[in-house]
Amino acid sequence: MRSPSTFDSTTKARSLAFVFDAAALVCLLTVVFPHDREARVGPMLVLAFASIALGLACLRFAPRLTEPLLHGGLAVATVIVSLLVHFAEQSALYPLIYMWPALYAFYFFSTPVALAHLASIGAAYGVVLNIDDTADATIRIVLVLGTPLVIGLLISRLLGKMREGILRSSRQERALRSSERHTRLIVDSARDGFISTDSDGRVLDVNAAAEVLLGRPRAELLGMPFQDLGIPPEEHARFDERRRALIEGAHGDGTRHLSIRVSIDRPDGTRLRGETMIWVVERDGEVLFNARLTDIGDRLREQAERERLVAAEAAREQAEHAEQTIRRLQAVADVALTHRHLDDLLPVILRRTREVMNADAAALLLLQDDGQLSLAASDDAPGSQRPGVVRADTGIAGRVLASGEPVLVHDPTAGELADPAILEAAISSILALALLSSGEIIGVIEIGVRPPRRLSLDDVDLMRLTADRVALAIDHARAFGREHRIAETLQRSLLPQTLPTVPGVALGARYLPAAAESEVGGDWYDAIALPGGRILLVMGDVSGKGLAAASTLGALRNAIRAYALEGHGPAEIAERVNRFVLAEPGREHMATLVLALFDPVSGELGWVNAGHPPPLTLDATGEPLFLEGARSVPLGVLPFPGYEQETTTIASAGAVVLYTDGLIERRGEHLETGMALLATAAGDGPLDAEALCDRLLAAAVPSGATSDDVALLVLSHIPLGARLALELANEPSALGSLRGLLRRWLGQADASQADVYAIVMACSEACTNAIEHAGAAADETIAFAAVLLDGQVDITVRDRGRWREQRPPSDQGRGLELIEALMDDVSVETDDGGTTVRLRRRLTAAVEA
Amino acid sequence: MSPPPATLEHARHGDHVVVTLRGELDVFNAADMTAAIEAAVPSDAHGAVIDLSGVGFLDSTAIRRLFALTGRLGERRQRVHVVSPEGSTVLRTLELVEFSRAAPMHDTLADALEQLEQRDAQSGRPRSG
Repeated sequence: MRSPSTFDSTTKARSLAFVFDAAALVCLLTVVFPHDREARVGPMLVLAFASIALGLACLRFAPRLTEPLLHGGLAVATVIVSLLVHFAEQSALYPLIYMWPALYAFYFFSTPVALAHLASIGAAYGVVLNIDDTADATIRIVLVLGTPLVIGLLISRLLGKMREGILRSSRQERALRSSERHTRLIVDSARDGFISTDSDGRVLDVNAAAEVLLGRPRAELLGMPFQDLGIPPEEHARFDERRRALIEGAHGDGTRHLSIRVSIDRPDGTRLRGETMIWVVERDGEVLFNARLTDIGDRLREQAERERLVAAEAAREQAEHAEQTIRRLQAVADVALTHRHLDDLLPVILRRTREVMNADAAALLLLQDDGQLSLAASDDAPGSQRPGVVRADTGIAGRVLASGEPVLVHDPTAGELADPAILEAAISSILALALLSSGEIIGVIEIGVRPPRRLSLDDVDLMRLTADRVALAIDHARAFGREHRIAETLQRSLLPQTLPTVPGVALGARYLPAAAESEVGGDWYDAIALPGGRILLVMGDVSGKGLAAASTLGALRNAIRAYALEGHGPAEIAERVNRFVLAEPGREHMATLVLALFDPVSGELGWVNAGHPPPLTLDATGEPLFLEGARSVPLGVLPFPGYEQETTTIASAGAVVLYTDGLIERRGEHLETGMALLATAAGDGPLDAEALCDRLLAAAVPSGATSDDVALLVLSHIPLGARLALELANEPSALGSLRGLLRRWLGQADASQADVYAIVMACSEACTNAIEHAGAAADETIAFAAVLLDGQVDITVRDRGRWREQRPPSDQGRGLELIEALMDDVSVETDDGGTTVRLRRRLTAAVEA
Repeated sequence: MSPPPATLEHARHGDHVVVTLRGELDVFNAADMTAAIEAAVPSDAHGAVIDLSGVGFLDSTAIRRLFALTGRLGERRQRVHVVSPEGSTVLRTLELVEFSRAAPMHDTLADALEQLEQRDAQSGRPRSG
């Protein structure tokens, strides 16, 4: 039926106002036209004004009246009506006034709520009847309740139907209007003109575009005959004929259409060149014409627009091409950043030059110190690279060199060529320019193109820009090369040329500079033979690269040597060189360092580690162990880092490996991976120093080329067997370690203290003599060998010099005297190769046995 | 030249200087060591005790230098006594070259100092300081 929610609160409030006003009206009418019984005028007037006030309040606050307020209002209205009925003394028709609140309730509220209101109306009326004490209450109640109910229901039903009808028709009307508006919008917004005429060709309607196309306002056009729209008079006959044919056709098979070209003279004197399509529409037996008018002039304009766009696109492409050229030019300059060596750089830079100039061939000649040009690189067909020397006074290059000006040659002959490759490639034009560095010519760059292309003087500007960048890149590479060579030389000079010979140990070392692209690093190692037969192993890495790093390295190396020879231990040396690095003025360098002091006699290794990868030790079976202890911060970081030495023992036949991070670091891999690889490779084979070095390098740097420097220093602890064989350095400091090793060796053989004393003393004397005799030949070594067989020790000391026969008697006498006093047998043999001393002593224990 | 692997300490005992050597003395460090001993004995000292108890090895060159040293100090009228305990390897060497002819040998430092003072008293040298 009806849905109360379709009404907004304003409508409901206004309707309630009407209820109040209706009550007020009845009150006033009762006062004005008093019926037979005397009405109470005073109460009636009060009621009337109260109702008017409430009605006005409803109107005033219409939109703000909520649903509960409306219910309250209706209840108040019911009370007013009841009072009205009461004061009107039950005049017969007054109860009908209850119809208004009932009607209102049913109309605006849902049925249950309306019934509640109806109940309240009934109750109110019941109260009134009771007070007035009227007879026949039952009939009156039925009458009073029934009348408003029935009338209310009937009227609300009726009103509902009416309302629906009104709503429906207004909706339809709105939809229609909206549809028309849309259609109109569609038609009006079309770029084509639409014209509709009746069968006589009178205009019924036009759209906006038609107004513009025809040059007349709509008002003027409506009703105008088709012919007057601006069709030239000579065309009228043809147009009319066509139109008739169309109508006849329309009678035959419905809608027909035709397309014709028209020219229309507008009132403002301009002419429209158009195309019109006309079609016939039959509607309700009436024949209508519809025409669509298109401006072909538009199409011509579109074509012009398209041409303009194509031109703009071409301009954009040209701009992009220029930008690409600039990028390629930049690429020429950038070569110097990625290729630091001239030999690597030239082929790349030549290829990029060719890309910039879009050339088929290119060649680069560099001016040598002797004034000749060397063909440094040529870029053409494969196999055409033939670097060689070109005379500086001939050919295209020679002309460039002589004049400094660009030279452009078409169809070059062999005599003019600097690069034979360019001739082989059948080149039609060659352009050559000087390469300038600080205003000096450093070479010539040439490009060539193949037929049918030809180079022109227009190419010179771009080629000049290219040549400048090539020259700059070559400058950079040369400067880098100089620095690299100096740094490499310095670094090489700071690594030991030969490792010291220390009895009881064998040393091996490798140094692998980083692959050519990088700068020289700060890795270094050192091995310093110390008094008492001990040896200090040094492995370090100065942060930074290049000359600065190399010179810091040199200073550090010398400082460590000096402190070591002063007799300081690893921890003290580290503390001192740390202060030294910190104090270096203006340097921001840091260095990692491992110092390991090894005593071959005891096998003890004391080490400190200043932020360096841990040393690797191997026992006699090749079982690897990294020395993780004694670790502290790198040098040059803290003023008092507190380096502390730790001590371990390198087993006889074991080894210790020091290295720099280049050996264990690989791109994209964990350090632990590299260390594990190192440990595995170290334990997998013989433990002598040289074999270890080779094996470790092969495992860590299979390609032989590293991205970082690699330094490696291996010490293997030579086992003491039944035969003790030692190489002694030709210097007195070796004697201490000889005595130490000899004591250890004799200890293993259970020699008595007296034997040990005698043999050590005699050997020391014999070796002292050998060292003195070897004399000038400082790099010679002394071969010492001791063999224990059947309780007898046989010792051989061989040098490559001659025993000095004319020594002061007291000196030699005392040495030999001692030896002879201590040993059972002494012999001295001198030949061309040197002198051999043989000593023999039977061990006391053996004698007793 | 590098310093020796041996160490030297010296202390004044009245009119005498005690020079204590430790380590091994050989051709490598003998010259430096004897020069250091000589420098440690001022000209006003009546004599010196060279304590070799802590020396583990003495080669012929070192002995030669010690002989020469006792000669030079003797020229300065300064007596030299040597401490080398019984049974030490160094004593063996010194006995072999009969070092006792150049300088009196003692088992302990106390013996050496006592002897020196007695000699001073016998020769009537006044105590200084």
